[in-house]
Amino acid sequence: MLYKTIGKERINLFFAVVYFYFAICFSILFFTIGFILYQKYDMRRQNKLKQQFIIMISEKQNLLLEEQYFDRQHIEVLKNQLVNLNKLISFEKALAHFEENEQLPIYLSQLEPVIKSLVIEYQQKDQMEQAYLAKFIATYAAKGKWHHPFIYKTLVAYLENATIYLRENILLATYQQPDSKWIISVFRYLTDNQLFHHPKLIQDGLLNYPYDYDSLIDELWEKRDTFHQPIVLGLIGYITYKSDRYKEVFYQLLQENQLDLEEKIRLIRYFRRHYYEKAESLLLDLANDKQDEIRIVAVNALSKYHSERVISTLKRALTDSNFYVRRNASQSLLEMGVSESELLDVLHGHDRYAKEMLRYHLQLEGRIFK
Amino acid sequence: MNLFIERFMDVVALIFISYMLLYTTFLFLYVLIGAVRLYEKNRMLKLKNEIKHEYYMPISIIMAAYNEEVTIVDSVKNLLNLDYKLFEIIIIDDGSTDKTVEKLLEAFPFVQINRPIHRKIMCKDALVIYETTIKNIKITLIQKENGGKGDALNLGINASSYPYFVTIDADSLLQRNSLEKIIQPVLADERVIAVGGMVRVAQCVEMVNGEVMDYRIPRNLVVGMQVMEYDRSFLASRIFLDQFSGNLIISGAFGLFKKDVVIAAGGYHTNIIGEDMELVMRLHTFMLNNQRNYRVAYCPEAICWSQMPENIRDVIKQRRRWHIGLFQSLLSYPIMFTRFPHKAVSFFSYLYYWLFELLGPFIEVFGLATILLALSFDLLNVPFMINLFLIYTCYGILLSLTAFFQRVYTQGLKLHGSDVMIALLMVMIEIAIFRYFLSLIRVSAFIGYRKKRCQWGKITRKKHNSKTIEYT
Repeated sequence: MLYKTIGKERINLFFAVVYFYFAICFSILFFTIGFILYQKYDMRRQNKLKQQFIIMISEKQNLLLEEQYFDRQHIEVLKNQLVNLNKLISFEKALAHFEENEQLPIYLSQLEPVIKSLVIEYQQKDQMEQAYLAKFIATYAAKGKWHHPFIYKTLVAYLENATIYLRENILLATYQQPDSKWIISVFRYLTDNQLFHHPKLIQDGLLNYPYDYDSLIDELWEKRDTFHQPIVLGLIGYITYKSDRYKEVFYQLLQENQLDLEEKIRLIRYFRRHYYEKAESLLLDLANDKQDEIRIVAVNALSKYHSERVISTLKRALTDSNFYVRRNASQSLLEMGVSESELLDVLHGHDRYAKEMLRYHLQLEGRIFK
Repeated sequence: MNLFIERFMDVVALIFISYMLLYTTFLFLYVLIGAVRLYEKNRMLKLKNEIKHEYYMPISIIMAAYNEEVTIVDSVKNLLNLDYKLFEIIIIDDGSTDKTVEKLLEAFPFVQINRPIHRKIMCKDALVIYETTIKNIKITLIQKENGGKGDALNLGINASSYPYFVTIDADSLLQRNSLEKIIQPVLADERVIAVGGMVRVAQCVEMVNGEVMDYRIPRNLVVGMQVMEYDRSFLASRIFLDQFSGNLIISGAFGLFKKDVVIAAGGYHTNIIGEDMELVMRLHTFMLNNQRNYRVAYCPEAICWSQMPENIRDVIKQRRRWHIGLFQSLLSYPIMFTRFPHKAVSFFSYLYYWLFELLGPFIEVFGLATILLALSFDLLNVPFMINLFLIYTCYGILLSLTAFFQRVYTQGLKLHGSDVMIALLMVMIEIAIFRYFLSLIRVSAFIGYRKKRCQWGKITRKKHNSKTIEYT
């Protein structure tokens, strides 16, 4: 094209395409600069709105304090205003301003009708806005006692084709109300649609549940067969953190042959956190399992089971072919306070790997220096 | 003879027209899709559409170092301020000849220890191991014989305790929330095996405890032009390729990997210059060969500030290494195209890197040569050529400025008025001159490259503009 030999029509076509791209890119640049300026304007506007809401909330809180009175008009104003997402964002920022204020829960408790109206209105909005509303509810539902089933029924309806962020925010919202039914509904939806939700998110999310967690655990565990694996794994993790009432249940479960590997690992971890005498023999068996992963976790769990049999199994595990079994066995022995004299046979033995590992952990604990 | 030259020029011109159109289309798509995705991401963050938790998966940060006495202490202190609950730091000193280790031993209360390391991937042995724990963060310092960056990283992987590891350079500063951000794609999608963070120019920022306090365009011309080049080349292209998990590079300066997959794929190659790109290409082929469903993600919100070369000599060294690394990596995996031509990662990414990244500079230089040839035979359409140069330069300026302003708004950076003017100036020089200069450098990259295999590419470092409140 740089040469006189090339046809004019080719040159024109080439320039036409490049000019077209040029025009679009110029529009993008123009939009980007415009957007930066808009952001500055928007921030100022948001601050102004936030200040207005702060004044409004202060006045209403004072009214509540003095006369236990909350006018309907305020509810209607909020219903109308908070449909606008920007106003909802400013309102949330204003509420955050009162975070430490003891009166905030009283004020929030009057807002349930507003939330009922908002969940309906936000059905028409896009998923990002719905996710924002769900997160807003998750933040204040427990404080404001927004427990009305209608709110959560509507939120669960948002799940249709929802993004991971919307699903997560809806889950966070359902954890903030006491009825396990809604949590189960979301879990079922995820299961039925084979939607992956990381077990860590399930576990950490459930840990935010501020009500009677024993009942929640029982109800969720009862339905566990209806949930897919990531949820069950998260649930076991949650139970491990929160309850020692599942020793016998998990003990029985751990003896099942068909149990999934991941589930088995998590159940073994449960017995590290919660001592169960009956589980000792089972853990000792698992410390000799064929699967490396099982041995690694079982040897780790045995740190809480101080007995001659355990010590001897752990010493044997120090010579295991798997590095992590040796490492965990060494850590467990020291964690249960086994003295150096009891370990002399290993320290002066012939297994170099066992010696190295034990010496390292002894050195870490400051028991030997070399 | 003249007829032959005319025919030759005709063919060359047609090839160039097609090439330039294709390249322009790629750039156009980058910017267009990048703009849409960044706007969307910005909105997502504003509307709390993100996976944000108190606790995440534990991560091992692996920092391979060779002669980094100037920056390493600041870089480690910076890591101690990250907003993340559970991580360890592993520093591998790859036989430094300066005071890298001494500086670390002075700065932190390390204790020498005899620690067994599980050798899951081949690497040279550890010579001395030190450990300490600060703010519940375990720091391991391992001295080893010099073996190159890949070898050092392999030792770091072997020594790491957690299922995910992050690699960072010893001159890099992570923003406080970088780890929190870079792990989010893993929580959102179980198929993710690697995540690339965004690498930006450290000379632009003043950081206090991992937070950006001020952002300025460096007045140093060499650095300033690289800022613009990074914005244009890396932001837009990686966002575009991320749409179909097609990124073939995760910068060694900041990337997260799933450890078991990396180990299964064999870890880093130790006899290659571009070990970071080679690993990502190997992960792609490994997963494709094993018919596993996977994703390689890019997370522009996870930001790492890394020092750029401040003089031309260092730029030349760095770019030559990069180009050789690109060549070695692409040449190692023809299987991507021969076996999986229907996959987007092969068809778009692999071809793109071959055509525009590896061969692009050669094509440009060849183009300049044919221009001279055409001129000597009076076959050059001079007005057209001037037109073409102008429109391409303007197009490049437009793309660079768009990428620059996109970064400003997505990262909430406050821009000084004078910086806008400087940015414009830097963009113009970068597009009109620096870009062609880099093409020449890349073309000449292969001269004598065999002598430098496996060596660390070193550039002159200077102290970070970063402050850290006492960490103990």
